[in-house]
Amino acid sequence: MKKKVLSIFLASAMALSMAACGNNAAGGSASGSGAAGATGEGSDIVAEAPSYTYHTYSSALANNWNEHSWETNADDTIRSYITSPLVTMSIEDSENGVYQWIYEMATSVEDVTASHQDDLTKYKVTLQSGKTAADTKSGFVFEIKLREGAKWQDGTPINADSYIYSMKQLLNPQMQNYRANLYYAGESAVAGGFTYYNSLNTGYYVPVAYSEVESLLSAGKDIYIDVWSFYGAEGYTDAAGNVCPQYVSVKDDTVWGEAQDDAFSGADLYATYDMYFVDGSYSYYQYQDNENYNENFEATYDDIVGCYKVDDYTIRYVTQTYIDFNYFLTSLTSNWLVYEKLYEAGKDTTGSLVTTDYCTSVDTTMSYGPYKIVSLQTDKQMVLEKNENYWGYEKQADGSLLSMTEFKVDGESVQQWQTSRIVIDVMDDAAAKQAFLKGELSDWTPTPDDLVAYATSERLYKADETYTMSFFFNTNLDNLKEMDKSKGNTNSVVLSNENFRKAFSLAINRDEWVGATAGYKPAYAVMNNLYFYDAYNDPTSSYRGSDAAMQAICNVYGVSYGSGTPYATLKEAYESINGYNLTEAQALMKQACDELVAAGLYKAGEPIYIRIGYKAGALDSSNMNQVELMNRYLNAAVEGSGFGTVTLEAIGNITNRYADTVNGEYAIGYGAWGGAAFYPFRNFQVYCDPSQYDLNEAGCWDPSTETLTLKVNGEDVTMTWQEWSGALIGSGRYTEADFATKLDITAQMEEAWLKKYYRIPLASTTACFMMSYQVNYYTEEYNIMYDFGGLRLMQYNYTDAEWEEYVKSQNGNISYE
Amino acid sequence: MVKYVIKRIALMFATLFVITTICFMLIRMLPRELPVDKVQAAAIQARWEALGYNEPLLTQYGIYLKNIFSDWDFGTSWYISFRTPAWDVLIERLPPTVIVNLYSLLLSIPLGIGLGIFAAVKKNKWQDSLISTLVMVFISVPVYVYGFLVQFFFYFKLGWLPLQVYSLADAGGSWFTWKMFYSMIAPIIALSFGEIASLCRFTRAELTETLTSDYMLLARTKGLTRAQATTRHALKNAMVPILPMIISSFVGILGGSFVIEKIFSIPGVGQLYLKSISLFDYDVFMMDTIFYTFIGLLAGIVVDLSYGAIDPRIRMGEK
Repeated sequence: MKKKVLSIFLASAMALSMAACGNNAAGGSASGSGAAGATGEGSDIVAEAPSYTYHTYSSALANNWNEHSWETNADDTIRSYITSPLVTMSIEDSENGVYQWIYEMATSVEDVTASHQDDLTKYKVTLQSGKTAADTKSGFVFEIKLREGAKWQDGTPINADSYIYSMKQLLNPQMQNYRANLYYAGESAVAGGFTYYNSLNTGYYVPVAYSEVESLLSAGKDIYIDVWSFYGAEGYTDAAGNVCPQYVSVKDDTVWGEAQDDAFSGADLYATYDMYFVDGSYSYYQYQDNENYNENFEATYDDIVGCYKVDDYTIRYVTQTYIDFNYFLTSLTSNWLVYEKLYEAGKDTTGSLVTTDYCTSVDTTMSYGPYKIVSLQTDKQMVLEKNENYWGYEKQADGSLLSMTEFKVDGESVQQWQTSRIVIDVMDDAAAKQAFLKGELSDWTPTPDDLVAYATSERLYKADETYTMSFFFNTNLDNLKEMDKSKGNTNSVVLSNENFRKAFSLAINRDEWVGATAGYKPAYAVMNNLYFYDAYNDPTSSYRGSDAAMQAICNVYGVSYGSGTPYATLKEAYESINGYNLTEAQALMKQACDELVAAGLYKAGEPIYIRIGYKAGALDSSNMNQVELMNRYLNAAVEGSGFGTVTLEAIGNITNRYADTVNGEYAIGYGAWGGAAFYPFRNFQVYCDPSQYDLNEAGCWDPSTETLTLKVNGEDVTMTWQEWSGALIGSGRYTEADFATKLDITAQMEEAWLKKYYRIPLASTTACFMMSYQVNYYTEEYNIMYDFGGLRLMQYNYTDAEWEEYVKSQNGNISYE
Repeated sequence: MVKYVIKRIALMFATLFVITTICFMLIRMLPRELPVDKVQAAAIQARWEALGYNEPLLTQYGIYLKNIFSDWDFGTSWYISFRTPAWDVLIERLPPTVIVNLYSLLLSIPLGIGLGIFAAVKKNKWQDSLISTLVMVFISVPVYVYGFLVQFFFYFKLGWLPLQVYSLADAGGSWFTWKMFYSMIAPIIALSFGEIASLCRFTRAELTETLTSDYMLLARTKGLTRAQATTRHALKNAMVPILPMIISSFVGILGGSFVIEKIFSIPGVGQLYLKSISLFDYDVFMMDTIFYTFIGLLAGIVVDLSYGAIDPRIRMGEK
């Protein structure tokens, strides 16, 4: 027996030791891909050529990098490697932060509206009121010359037909492509795109003014309520198990939510909750038939959609509404190309939906960008290598692929796409930190706690983001009362008082508050300084830096300049703003308390407790610090005001805090909004246009009925907030106005919006990440137009082999502190 | 016996049906988040509509069952692995999970039982106290702590083992290469601590009891040495409750360990379940549910039946 036991142990020990000796070369590698050089499957780099591997990580790999249906950031990252935009931006002068437009898949883009006015009629573009096709000279028809010589990964040429086929598929109504919206909606929407995409829709639900509801019902028309939005009824069923539709008729007696304690019917809602519709908090809807319904849609593409072939390497793109040339170029920084053979081969029908598995695996992917996918293991690893058929490469004698920029960077043509191999491993943050410090990852994003140790590292890169973290409120008195009664709040009704909310904002010492979270900077406005209004012509055209925008913020915080003030100029006054004024906050709190007591909404001295819908994930120490500080600020502000102690409590793990705040689960939500950095004039749609966005502040007001009067070129103009938010885009009233007018209108809107205190800006965010000593970005100065130069201009200090030696010389541990 | 087995299997399928039905309803009743942008939201809603997600739940369930029984079609993944059959998604994730857990068991069983026997034989001596103390420590500490510690010492400090399990491409294209095995050593060690401790404690407890039995006294008085009496009589009897535990562990290896799979980046089934819920990948979730419910129920039957196979004195289904 002893012998048997001994032999088993010996065998086990031998097996383990053999395995350990099996491949020692990989012993120090996170995934074994660290310095693999030219060993990957499908590699075309000969052994002599130096290899430069960019080894990165992600918590999740991409699943679908199809141009037409990608969804996640991970998907987008893969697209950036394997596709090539029509135009993009890069560095012109790194020292002064000057950028340039560069042409990739396009070689030129020209506004040819003046010479192709017939296209405006043919494709039924939406002209501005009072204008005709004959007097429209710009902003609708763009001619794009395509790069001859561009090829797919397999060598097939890419020409105008490829683009037209791809557009047809993108807008294919049977496919309901997720990214089709980029081309049928918004400012760069292709003319006729919406009609084509909706060819198979029999009709739409459109909002109807409250004042018209009664007459429509009397006339026998049907009126509907969006019960998913209004009542949170998604997933409710009736007695027969039918799932509740999104729109329910106000005449319908069907009871939905039999299993819930808040069962309802459309008729009940209409009879009971009409008050929510009177004040415009919610809209009624009417069903409209789609007059463009067309089952034979494919045959009508050429007649309907304004994206057509001129010759083999020229296409024209007609936009549905007016678009500024610069903004149109911005829209061309993405592409819609797909490879016909694989796209068609991957098609399948499920129910009534046609899908394609194009770009979901190595075999179904066809690259036309600088890299191609050579291996993929789902949820584990993806490896990309240079695509030898990318138009920018020249094969060298040693077999390597070299690419020099066609454009000048700091006055000279420089090497681009030096990275020969990209490895993406699935890894969590803790593992990534170890791998980075062992020299096995090229980058690493430290956690806020880790950032403290690396705050002064020369390898730390910081990139400001457009996002503004804010508190947004539900100020609806009925909602607040209900939350006090049944949602755990106490006296959250105080939020209905505008003075309370203003005092709330002024009580926050943002400079101190942002210290609770690494990478935060104080924010006092809706948009930070990363929004540019004339990106193409003026690199310094920051919206925030314009006089109108600075004046707006000075007005919000009551700061003036000139004689008798501490500030000589508007800029000095603007730069002095920190959003913190405890004295004024205390005075406003007292005023708010008096008003609330007088209105019978609050009893002096009672405590206030409000739950905040804070985040989708679990709360971390940084969040707790944020709320602790916020409580300190508020309690300092309410001192002597008559209010009792104020306690805010952050609630984490909430699936959808935005909808929950609107629907009266939380009186305060915490979240961010950013984007539209190259066209700030459309930014207010997200706050004011309920037809385009679910508004986070929908529990406060109805911008589709509430009006705003602004001074435009010396005249008072009154429109609804929703109309103003669309006034500078598409077919809006001031779309073709000069920048000074647009800046003035946007700044006035920002001021008026901030003064409502439905949303309090708190901080803008900064992305912080480390880069290994093996690689450098072209510049260390971040610029929103070109980041740090991107992977395109990334430079290597060591080849893979040299880097391995360097890591060994450091005993396998590299210090970045 | 046959009647008992048939009855248990019939009950197993009935239970499976109930659990499957409940899970099908619950996952589809969870509210799904739509993008703030209404145009994108409309595209997603249109897709749900086209995929039949807006049909009555019972209708959806009826179609789901029909597809399974008529075409052996368990549905399709729309998020985790776009348009891949849910069955294939599951099968693709099984090998790494099974292999890592199997290696771990192969290490744990001899060590756990061996240490348990040693502790029982040395009962109340310092060796027993030492082993019992260590067992308590290893049972009490959660598996992810071992995961991090193994990673930190064996990878970061000593550089002996890789940080994570290699990808197939890096390991030579197979789960059964030496390189792949080498990369699995760290998770195997992390998984084994708890299993070894558990088996050791159980073996020690059972063997200690049998060692004090009357028949052991009889065996010794008949002239058997202590070692002979222990291995031929005590250990054999002590194994009656231990073997079903091992069988159950073998069945359980299919379940994997979410935490260890995450720490060592093992693309196995442990992570698949949670991911299918967070992404609302309905059919993958249902595939997982059916599979694990089936395995769990089957394990119960196998363990129960194994008692009878191991110890003939135990008879199943007899009154």
